[in-house]
Amino acid sequence: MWDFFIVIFRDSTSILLVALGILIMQLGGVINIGAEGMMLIGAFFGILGTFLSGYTGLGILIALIILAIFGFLFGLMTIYWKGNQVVVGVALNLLAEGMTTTLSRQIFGTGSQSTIQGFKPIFLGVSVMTYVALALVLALYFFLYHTNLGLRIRASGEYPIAVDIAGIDVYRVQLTAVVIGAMIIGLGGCSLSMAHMNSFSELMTGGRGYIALAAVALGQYKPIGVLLASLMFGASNTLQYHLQASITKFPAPIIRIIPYVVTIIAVIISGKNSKDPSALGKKYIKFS
Amino acid sequence: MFRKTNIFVFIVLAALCVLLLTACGQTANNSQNAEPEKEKQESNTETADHSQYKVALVLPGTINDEGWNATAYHGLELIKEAGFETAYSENVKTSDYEAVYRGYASKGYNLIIGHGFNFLDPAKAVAADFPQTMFGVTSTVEYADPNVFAIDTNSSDAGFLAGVLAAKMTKTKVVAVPCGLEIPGIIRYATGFKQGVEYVDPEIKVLSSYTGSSSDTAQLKELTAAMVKQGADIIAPNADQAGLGAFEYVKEHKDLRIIGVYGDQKALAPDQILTSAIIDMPGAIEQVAELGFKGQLEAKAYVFGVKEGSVWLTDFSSDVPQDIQDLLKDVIEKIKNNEIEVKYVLE
Amino acid sequence: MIRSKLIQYFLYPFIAIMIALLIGALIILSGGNNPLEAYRLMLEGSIGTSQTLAETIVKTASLIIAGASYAFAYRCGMLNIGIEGQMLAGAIFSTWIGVNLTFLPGLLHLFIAVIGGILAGALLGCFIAFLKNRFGANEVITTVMMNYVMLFIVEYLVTGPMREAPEFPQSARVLPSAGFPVLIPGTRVNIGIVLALLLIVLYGYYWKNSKKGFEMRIVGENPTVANSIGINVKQNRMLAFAISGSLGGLVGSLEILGIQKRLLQNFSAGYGFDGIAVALLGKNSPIGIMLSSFLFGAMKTGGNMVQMFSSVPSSVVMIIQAIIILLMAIQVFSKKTKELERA
Repeated sequence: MWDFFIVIFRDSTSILLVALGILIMQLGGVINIGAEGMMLIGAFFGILGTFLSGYTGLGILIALIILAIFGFLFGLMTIYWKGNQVVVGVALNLLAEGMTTTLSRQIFGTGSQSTIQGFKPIFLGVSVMTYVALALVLALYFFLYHTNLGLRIRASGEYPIAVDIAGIDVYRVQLTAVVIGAMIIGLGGCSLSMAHMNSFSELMTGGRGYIALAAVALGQYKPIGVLLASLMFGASNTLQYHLQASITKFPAPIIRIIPYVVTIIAVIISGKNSKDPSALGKKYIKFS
Repeated sequence: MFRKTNIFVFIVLAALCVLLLTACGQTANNSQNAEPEKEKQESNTETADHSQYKVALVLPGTINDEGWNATAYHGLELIKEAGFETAYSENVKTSDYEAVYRGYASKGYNLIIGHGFNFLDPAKAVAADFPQTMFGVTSTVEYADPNVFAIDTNSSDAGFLAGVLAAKMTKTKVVAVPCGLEIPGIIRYATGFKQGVEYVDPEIKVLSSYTGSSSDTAQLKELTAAMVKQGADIIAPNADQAGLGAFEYVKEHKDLRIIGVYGDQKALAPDQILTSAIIDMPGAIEQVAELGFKGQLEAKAYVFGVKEGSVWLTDFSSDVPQDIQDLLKDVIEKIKNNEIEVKYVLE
Repeated sequence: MIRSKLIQYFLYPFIAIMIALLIGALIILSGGNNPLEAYRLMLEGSIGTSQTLAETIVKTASLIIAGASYAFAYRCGMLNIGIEGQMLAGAIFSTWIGVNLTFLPGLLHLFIAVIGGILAGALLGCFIAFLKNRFGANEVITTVMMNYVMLFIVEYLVTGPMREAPEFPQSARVLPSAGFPVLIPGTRVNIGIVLALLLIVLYGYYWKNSKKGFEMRIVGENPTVANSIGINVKQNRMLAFAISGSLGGLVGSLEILGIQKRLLQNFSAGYGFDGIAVALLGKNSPIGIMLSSFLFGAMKTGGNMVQMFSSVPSSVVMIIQAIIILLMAIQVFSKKTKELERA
């Protein structure tokens, strides 16, 4: 039974981190379809940094810096230059796929030479990343509900005009949210490539960015809710693996549907009244 | 305001360029390294000048997948070294197969190989318009006159050998084949594996399932973990790039043993790999290209299995006792003599 | 007015593409390849010869319909990320009808097969709208999840019930009678492009001139206001999603009956996702959708050609495409941001 929990936590760590990153961005009013791409970039640069420097810590640092740059770009293009958030996100996914593939082939060659010494399980069978993710849930809760900046971010996503009238630079607040969010998403990518696996492979994120997007809405835009949603997804995924391993006669694709159907059911049960920030995805144009 | 942002645009784009430039700088180095090799090749070509024969390879996935697509790409690299003019396209979408076939054919390519059974329809559709070009389709035995032929590497043979070895080596009487995409090359490997296990001991349980992804390593790792929970102690993954997930899991659990596939995968888990079941796709492509160069390619099915010397096992690890090694050599002989017949198809 | 439209549709995109190509040239150059050669191939591969132009048109047709599908739901205030899933549903039904209803004569067979695909997409769309109306389920989650569900259902069908031969995960071929008639002999251009153009004109008319379209627009802009002036919000959402879904289903029918002729695993070329970008890049206007569909189609076929005949890898082509989209999306060059948004 305990093993089962370990697998759930291991499986949902990366999704949880990415979902937390998306959470903070979307609370600030910026839709992030590009989470998949950001995650891929994080996964790659975490490995690359570790590979070049020899330290996992440095690898993560490098990944975070790169992601901060990409977050900054994403913010500039969507908030300042009014690019459609979804289009920029889609393009970012394409860019991330092309860039990580090109770079990984040039640096690691064709083959799997990107293996590094990643994070080992440290306590109760899960790696440090899982604890970081859990700590971030609490930290984000505090940040979003009990700090000035957190309140401003939420207000910018809910009712930007009010923030503007109060004399606060809405754009800057949103940009901050996007950059912080991108870095957390990058951490999610690192946890996939450095804690769950110990190497980078092309397109290894396999749609987790989109799942995380759903987890944010399912968690009703609350850090704890996002945690529960990610764990639920991890649990149904684990169930799916175990069913696949034990029932060999049943068609595998039908078993693989389980996590997605469970999510839809969860949405139906918890759905009433969407908690989307009111200004989510809308471009806000400042008075000044 | 706008002027200011314009400056921003260019700074940001410049930064992006620098990032990519640094990366691409390394390619330039690579191509320089490649040149001396080319010269060597030229001095070696004693036989014929292959450079007039143009071969193209169309891949449904990435050349970097450590499996299905990578092995065909290695084949192309081999014939490139032999002096053929080559080209390839990767990650081609199924709806583009026909257009890509047509594109290569119209530029005078002599041999175009589509790497997967679903290239058959597009090949048939294009072939009539280009009677001078030979169209190859892998992992099928269907062909069409006059210029569509089939290249089939017999992965059920490879699966059978792996299955016999796994059945002999298991202590828990449970073995596992975690698979990626549900495509012929992989389905047949799994089927062959089951037959191999049955040949040794029908009592042994074979766990086999598909994740449906050739790139999601983490998913395959969890599937492997779940199979190990069910008692499996010998793992024979066949999932292209995602197969790395199985190796990753096995490396974390020292009592497990793993069997590689397609190429020699020893480097992925040196202490725990028993052997790799080689399916010599590169060799097959080389042979086909050589036949094509000589003008001897016909519309028929070219099958490459144990009998043709295209499927074998690499050197065993020290964990495999001598008697089991001998048994496998015997099994290979028996397949060659038709004493053992490995069935192609499931059910 | 005309001049500003001209600038909006042609000049800004042109500048954006030029800058993107310039950056792309630097990337290609640093990879040790000749950018001019690559761009020549890209041009040849997209519009250069009759054969490649035909391929671009084939793709444009699917993209227009997918773009219209996304735009339809978007204008009614909903995000349909599930075009991919609706497309798969349409493909399944069209394939089944195309393979099994052998007794139907010629064009009727095609007609029924297409209707089947459209209905399948519409049903899926209605299901999503129903979940939203009845349970308040966020359509982004449900559509993303349905994409996966449909993907696995296709996988189940082609590896199980609809499989043609035991080891090949693909359906049987649809009968010729259910295939889209080819418009230009010797190419793959079929009547799909005519259908797409017809639909986009209808789309333009619907949103500009029809009463229902006006109603839906109010629902999209402000559901509360719509409710208070007596517009049935739920019914409108249901209808919008049904139409959006049926267009998605049509993309699937077109792909199977017009191009691939059988159901395969991973047969999707990703039009469902491209449709999102196409619609938003074209600012949901009919002309915008048409132009951006053509651009996307051209980039896809041109990109194929580049990787076929030069040593520029497909991943670099992908980067260039991403930069083109990014530069077209941002509005640094346009000062009329506000006006454009309202359009």
